[in-house]
Amino acid sequence: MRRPAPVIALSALALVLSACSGSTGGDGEGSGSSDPSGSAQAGGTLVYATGDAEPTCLDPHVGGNYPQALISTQYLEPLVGRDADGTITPWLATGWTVSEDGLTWDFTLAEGRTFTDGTPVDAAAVKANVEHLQDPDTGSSTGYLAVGKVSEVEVVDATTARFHLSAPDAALLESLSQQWTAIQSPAGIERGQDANCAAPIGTGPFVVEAWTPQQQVDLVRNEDYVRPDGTAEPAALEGITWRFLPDAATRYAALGSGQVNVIDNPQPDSIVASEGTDITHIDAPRPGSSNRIELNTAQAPFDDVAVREAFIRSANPEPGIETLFAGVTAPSYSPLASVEPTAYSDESLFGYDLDEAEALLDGAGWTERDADGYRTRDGERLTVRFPVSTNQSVAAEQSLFEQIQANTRQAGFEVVLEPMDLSAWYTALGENAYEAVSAPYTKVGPDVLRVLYHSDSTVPAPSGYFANHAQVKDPALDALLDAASASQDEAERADLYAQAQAIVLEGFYILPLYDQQNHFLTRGVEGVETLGTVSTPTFVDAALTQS
Amino acid sequence: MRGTARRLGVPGGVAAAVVALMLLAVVAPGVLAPGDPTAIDPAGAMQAPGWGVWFGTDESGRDVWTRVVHGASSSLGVGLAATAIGTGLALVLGFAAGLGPRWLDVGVARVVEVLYALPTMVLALLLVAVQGPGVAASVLAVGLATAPGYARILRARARTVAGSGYVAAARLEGRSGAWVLRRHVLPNSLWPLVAVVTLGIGQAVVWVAALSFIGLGAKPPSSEWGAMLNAGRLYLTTSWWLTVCPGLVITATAAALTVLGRRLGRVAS
Amino acid sequence: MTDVLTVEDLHVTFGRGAGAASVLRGVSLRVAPGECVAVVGESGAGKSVLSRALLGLAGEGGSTATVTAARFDLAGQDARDLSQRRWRRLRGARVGLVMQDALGSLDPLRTVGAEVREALEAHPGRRRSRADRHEAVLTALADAGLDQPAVRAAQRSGDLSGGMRQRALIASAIVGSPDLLVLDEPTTALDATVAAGVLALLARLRDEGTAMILVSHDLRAVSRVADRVVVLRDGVVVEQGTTAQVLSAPAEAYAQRLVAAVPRGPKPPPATGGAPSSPDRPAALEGTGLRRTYPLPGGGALAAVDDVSLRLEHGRALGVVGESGSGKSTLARLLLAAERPDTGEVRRDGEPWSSLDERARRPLRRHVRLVPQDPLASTDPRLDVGAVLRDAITGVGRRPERGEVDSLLAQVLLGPEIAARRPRTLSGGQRQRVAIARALAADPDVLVCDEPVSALDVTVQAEILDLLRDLQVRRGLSLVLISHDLAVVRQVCDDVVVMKDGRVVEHGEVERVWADPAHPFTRALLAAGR
Repeated sequence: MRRPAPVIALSALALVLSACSGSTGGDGEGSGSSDPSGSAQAGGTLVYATGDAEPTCLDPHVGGNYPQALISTQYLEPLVGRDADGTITPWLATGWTVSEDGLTWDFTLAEGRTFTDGTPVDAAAVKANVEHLQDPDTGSSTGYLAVGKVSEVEVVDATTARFHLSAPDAALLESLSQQWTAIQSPAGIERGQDANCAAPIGTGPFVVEAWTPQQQVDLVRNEDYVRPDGTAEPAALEGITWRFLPDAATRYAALGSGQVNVIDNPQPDSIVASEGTDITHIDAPRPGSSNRIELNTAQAPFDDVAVREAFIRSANPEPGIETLFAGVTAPSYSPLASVEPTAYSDESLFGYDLDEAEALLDGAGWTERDADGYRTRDGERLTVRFPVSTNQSVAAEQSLFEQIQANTRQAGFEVVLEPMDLSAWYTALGENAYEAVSAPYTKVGPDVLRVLYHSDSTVPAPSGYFANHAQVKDPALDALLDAASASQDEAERADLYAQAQAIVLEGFYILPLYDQQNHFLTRGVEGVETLGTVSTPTFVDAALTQS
Repeated sequence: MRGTARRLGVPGGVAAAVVALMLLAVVAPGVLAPGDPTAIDPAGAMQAPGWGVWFGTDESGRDVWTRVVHGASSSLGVGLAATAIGTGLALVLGFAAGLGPRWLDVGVARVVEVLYALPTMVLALLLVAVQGPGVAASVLAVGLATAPGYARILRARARTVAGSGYVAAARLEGRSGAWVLRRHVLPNSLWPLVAVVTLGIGQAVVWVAALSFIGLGAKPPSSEWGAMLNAGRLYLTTSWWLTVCPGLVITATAAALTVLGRRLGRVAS
Repeated sequence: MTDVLTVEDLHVTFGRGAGAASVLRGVSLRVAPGECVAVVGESGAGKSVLSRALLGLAGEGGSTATVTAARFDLAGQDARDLSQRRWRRLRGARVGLVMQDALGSLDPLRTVGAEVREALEAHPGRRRSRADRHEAVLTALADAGLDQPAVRAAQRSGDLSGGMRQRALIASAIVGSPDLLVLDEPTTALDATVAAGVLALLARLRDEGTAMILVSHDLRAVSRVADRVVVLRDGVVVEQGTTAQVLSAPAEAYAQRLVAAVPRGPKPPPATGGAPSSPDRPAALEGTGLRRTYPLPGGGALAAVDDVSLRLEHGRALGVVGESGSGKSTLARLLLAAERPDTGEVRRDGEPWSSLDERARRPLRRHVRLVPQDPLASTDPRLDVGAVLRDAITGVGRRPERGEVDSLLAQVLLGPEIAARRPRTLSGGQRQRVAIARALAADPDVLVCDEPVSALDVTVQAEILDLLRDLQVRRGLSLVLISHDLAVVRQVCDDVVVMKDGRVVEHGEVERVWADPAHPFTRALLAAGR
């Protein structure tokens, strides 16, 4: 296996990073200790209850959000992996080399691998997948950005796929380790989008058997599963029932009653309450961006930096984070997740200062107050429309937004919280009908900054989605992000990303809140692990325990 | 008036007192709860009910009692508004069908039957789906959904009254149709509706609360009771008062209005 | 021969404690075989409770009744402490009951024969073969005076007329050959000629040896069959004796009033000479060739009023007599212009009346007023008497003057305190007086009274008839009095038309018709009413 120097350096960085997140990967230790009386057994069907939105398409190429990543981890596999300490590892590709100019990448594929429909996993399949991601008809947004610099994939021979890049991309391996660029059967893709969305065909430990909308997806074991290291060994479980249970209280109750084995997105108070019981807690913060409120700079009132600062200075989320999240997370002052080693924080910018906020608003011309106590300028109220995706924000987060609503009201902001489902939320963003929004974005590595704050990201992807909700258009920032992306020098990249983050923070484009919460509670099951990429759980080594 | 009070009896009196308290909460919530229902205090979150915090505090440290009291106007208001829409529509439909020509009766009957066949909540959800969630939509939805019931009562009542001996007698005394309508038909048709409408307000409060409960009604930080119930539900195992207190108030309101409606109905007949 | 029934000091009380209502207080009664004892009295006297108590049914209908008696011997048994089971065995076999409401007492879904047979089968003591039972049913139907008993046995109650239904009920009461028959108002719902037939049947059964208790408010009916009469008032027997003795020379004051109230005799000649009818003056109301048909459910049409012509002269009272379905109420509605005749015309004072557009007629309606049969249904339940009368005054475009309501009430002999009452809290007689006052408020020329006294007790009926006659004469009103009772009409009216099947069969001055009826139907009517 050839592993060129830059890649190793990158992996080392990831190693440092992962030291901060020791709990990543339940890895048997939790389940073993929590359930001493239970003994693992082969077979059985695990029930997973997710609070994330039900995907409209099970193929993560289409669109590309976290719920798709969660479920597709069970049946699709990426070209490369990333282990718990951040090292890029072989998966479907057994090795890779990069040219000196960083513009040509050769990936070597394992021989004899097939998709569950029998189609060989070869260079042509890789080429078809990249083309599928780049095809505007696919409607990809996340994967589309991830392979944005790939101009062409050349089939050198059956086991060698050569990627030609338009510009150097230091984040390419990280991008390809994500579920949104996972490799699926070209024969499956050719069935057309409807069929492929219903049951994508991959190489993973499980296969999509049936999808009952609004209810569940049934997954069955892939008996011919070949692990990344080449050994043929199927999963212990016979199958997974992937249930959609949007209500957090219901999910937790179902876990407690034994109806389900794994739940995601638990309420913070549930996590606290489960301590000391036979429930195991897996905390796997997502990489990439922190959870933050983005302020829409494309239109009034947040086109004025003073108004943005006033909002941020009066928001005062810290006491709420402390009580609502019951200590399971800490406030963030960075655009990046704390698991990212390049994360840059500046707490001084976010101190609560109501007087300062008032002064800033006075200075910005929002001097009048109407009968309800809200500030006005030229008869127009200082209104902040805040669409909230109830699928993506747990109740504690929604409560936090309500507290921010109450706090900023003191300064004269009228925050209109508009809870809505995911599709309505996408529509609201597409129509620019928001002044503030909290949109989680998960991507491996600091390159997420380019996705979220580069002016290119204000242009909608084929799916209509654009990731730069703050609509930051700063040439200096663009230049820093482009340079970082092209640089092969780690120290230089870290410095460039730090400068970029400083611009984002000092421009008051965002109000960072905390890491993207990614908690799982399990009961009656052991061997649940989360991937080192986007922290999705895998059940390949999971086994139900007798109780 | 004293005769009416006596005929209401003890349960009716208690119900009237509860309704009066609710009305006070609607008109002057500050009297019952001087605080700000949206004032947060993260440090004082999740306090159990006790001295000074009668209903406890919620996850943001807001006083539940204050929120319930201030939520009365939106909860009861929407109940009233929904019932007003329902009865307003029912007046038109019911009297058109009851007093109008036969073809109109048949036409209205079809409309009412179709509306009636749809369960109230389904109709409400349908409207909310078309109109988008919000208080106005749920008020309209519940109003529309309840109209058929009232319309049926009114139609039957209007027909009975229109065919009554006293209407015939008035016509034979040379009274005009308009006078008969005003003097006999309207009052005699509407009076029984008072009791039904009182019952209906309680029902409408519950329905609008139900819509808010499933996230289709009031928006945060409104302290509409259904929305409070929904928000508090997540903490049911740890902080029961967040659901039990507004839940009890909804129950008490609906029960009081029901008892009052029944009693009024009995007094009326 | 021993008496079939002996009751001494019978008390029936409903409810307990302070709210207890004593309905019968010390009633004593004897009935010998072949004897008919009539129990008469006005509503509320306790007649129906007595008849039910005699069958051990006093507690039926929800309220708990306490029955005590010093003696209660029925068909040789002491009935005071009989179990419900024993009572069931006794009923039908030894004592039969015939109720007033013939339609309500028969199951509309079962044949008459089945109803009668059921009464027979209720007695396990007398087992008979199926053929025997059928024979007994047919015999009972024939005994009850039904023609073609085999046909009737196969019919359902809806196929029978009121008189036939009453006979069917009597058949099911007598099929078990009981020793005692208790009949509760058996003829009240029937037309006079039909009632006469039923009474004749009862007289025959009595002569054949059945003991009978006939409960009725109708003294005339009683006089035809009863051997003895018991007068009941407020649960107490105030007088009893032979029929002739009680009806001709009652001793007790209430019995005297009751007997005196039976309508009899002609209209007294007017003291002031009355209003002469001038042949030059057009009639107050005149109908010519009136015809009104109603479509029947099964197609075809029923001519409720068929080619009727009549004149109501100014200041005179015209009676319209007929049995139910004769078209007299439809005729009243035509005269009131509540309905439009299919053919023919009603003219008022020589001017068009029935042919007018309602809008044009509305201001003229003050001249023609109705006194309805059921005054309670004719008043808005929300309004008190004062409001009803004020409405009647404003209805003719006047503002009520001070004290006008009181004076209207005074005209119908009611006190001013009535103004604050609602009609449903008034007695039947008071309601009818209010209805008359309401009609008078418009100061009308013509009063159309549709069965104004048929729902009233006999003493009250006499008062209302007195009042009507007095008002008619004193105010020179033209009056139409619709009634099924020729004796009632005779007390108030000058002229009469007799209707049968929508047609006028006889027409003339009341006394002439009374003395010398020309049409056979009139004769039958008179015979039934005497």
